[in-house]
Amino acid sequence: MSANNSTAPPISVLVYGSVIDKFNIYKQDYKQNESCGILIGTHSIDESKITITFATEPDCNDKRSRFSFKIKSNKHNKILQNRFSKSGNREVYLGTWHTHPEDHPNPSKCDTDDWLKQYSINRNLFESMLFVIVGIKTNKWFLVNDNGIFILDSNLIYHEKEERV
Amino acid sequence: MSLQSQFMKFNETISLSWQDEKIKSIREKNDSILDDIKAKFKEEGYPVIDSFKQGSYITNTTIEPLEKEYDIDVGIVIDYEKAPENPIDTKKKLRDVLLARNFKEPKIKKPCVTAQYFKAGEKSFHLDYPIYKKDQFNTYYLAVGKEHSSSDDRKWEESDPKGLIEWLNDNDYFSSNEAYQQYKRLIRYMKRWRDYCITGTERKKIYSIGLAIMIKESFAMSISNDGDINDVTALLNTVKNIKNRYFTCVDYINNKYDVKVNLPVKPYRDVFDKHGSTVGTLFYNKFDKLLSNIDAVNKEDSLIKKCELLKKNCFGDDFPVPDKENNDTKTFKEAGYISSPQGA
Ligand SMILES: [Zn+2]
Repeated sequence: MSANNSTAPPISVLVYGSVIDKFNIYKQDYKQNESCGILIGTHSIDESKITITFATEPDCNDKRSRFSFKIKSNKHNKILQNRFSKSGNREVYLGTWHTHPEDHPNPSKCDTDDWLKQYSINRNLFESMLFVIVGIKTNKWFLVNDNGIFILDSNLIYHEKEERV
Repeated sequence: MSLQSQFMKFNETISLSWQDEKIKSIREKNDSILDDIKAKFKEEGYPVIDSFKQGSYITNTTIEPLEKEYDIDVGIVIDYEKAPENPIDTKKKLRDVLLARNFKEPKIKKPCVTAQYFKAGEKSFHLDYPIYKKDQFNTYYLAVGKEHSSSDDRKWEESDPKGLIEWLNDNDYFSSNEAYQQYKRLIRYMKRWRDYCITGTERKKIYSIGLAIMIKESFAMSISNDGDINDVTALLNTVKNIKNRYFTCVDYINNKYDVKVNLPVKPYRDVFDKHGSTVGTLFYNKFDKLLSNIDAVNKEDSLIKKCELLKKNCFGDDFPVPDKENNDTKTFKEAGYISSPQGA
């Protein structure tokens, strides 16, 4: 894997409980296909915090097999655009999530290439993007910015009960 | 943090349930008064065969009263065959029970017997006891009339108190449970709005049941397909519907309005009967004011300012104002491009 091992930027990630609940539903602990979706949320003004408020779920128009996926459905973008306008242009495309059929997941070349691609297309909008691989026992978080891909230390990831909205 | 989360907090602050610890002493008093009523009515030869809570406790739309006076509304049911011909007899006996318990000035009103309970250091409350007789077909007849009503004005009037509760609590009428919950929240918001924005004797004419019926019949849900709940929009559109539905202009020069809201069950009478144009005009103007106040909130960008406006103009101090702006998060020109992500 080509993750950068130099120090990750000082950024914390707050994940809504409902997002974690979705990850747990799609965890590949049996023989399910890989699942995938996009992460939606906000950036703090000082870029010290990213909050994940919503994760889209796989749709029948997405391509999924046991060992690969491709997000093709336009439902993900519909949800994104809707939440973007409802939040007063605050909730944006943060990155993607997908599952691996392994306890402690590691990204494939295909994964990291795609993350760099997603970031390069959006780098004029966002300073960084987030990607997560949902394993059977643990999840692994990555941040992508102009300096490359960084593994995020798990103690920077906070799970919080969703505000009742 | 969003405006909706402030509404949710507000809803929690003002909600009051019958099981609430705060009104435990009132519940206990209610039970013991009920025991006395049962004893008295038995003595009179028309035993109580049923009693049930009416009003907002049973529809779960009770709100914390602003002036700390709690309302209790309990229907007393006697058997049709044993009921005296003159309904006022039963009401006088009930008043006697309340007098014996040292209530100050219990009163016989047209639809019920009512009393206030004040005692230093204790929660004050207001009791309403409508009396019904019920026949073998489960039809209820309400004891209607005041103490000195002529024989024409006093009667056992067919009525459907339980049907009204069922109608208000009919979950199936709504497209989802979330919509049903939003409708119930709107009733609570509107009751607090009334208590805060309308004062004195005028406030007493804006009956809660009238508000609840209007809100259900005019309800404009605001929940998006992906589940985003928006109470301020639901409130705005519901009040607009109400304004269009129940009012008739009766005096174009002085802008007087009549209001008519019929009970959805027997006896189908107008809830605001006889107050028509005083209540109508008051209501109409207050609704107008509420709509323009909500418009002002929607035009405002800052969350703090939105909440301050709602607090000052619509709901009073229980509406929470956050200490931080929503703008500790960035805004963006675009939501970002999802470019067919893939992986393995
Ligand atoms: Zn992968």
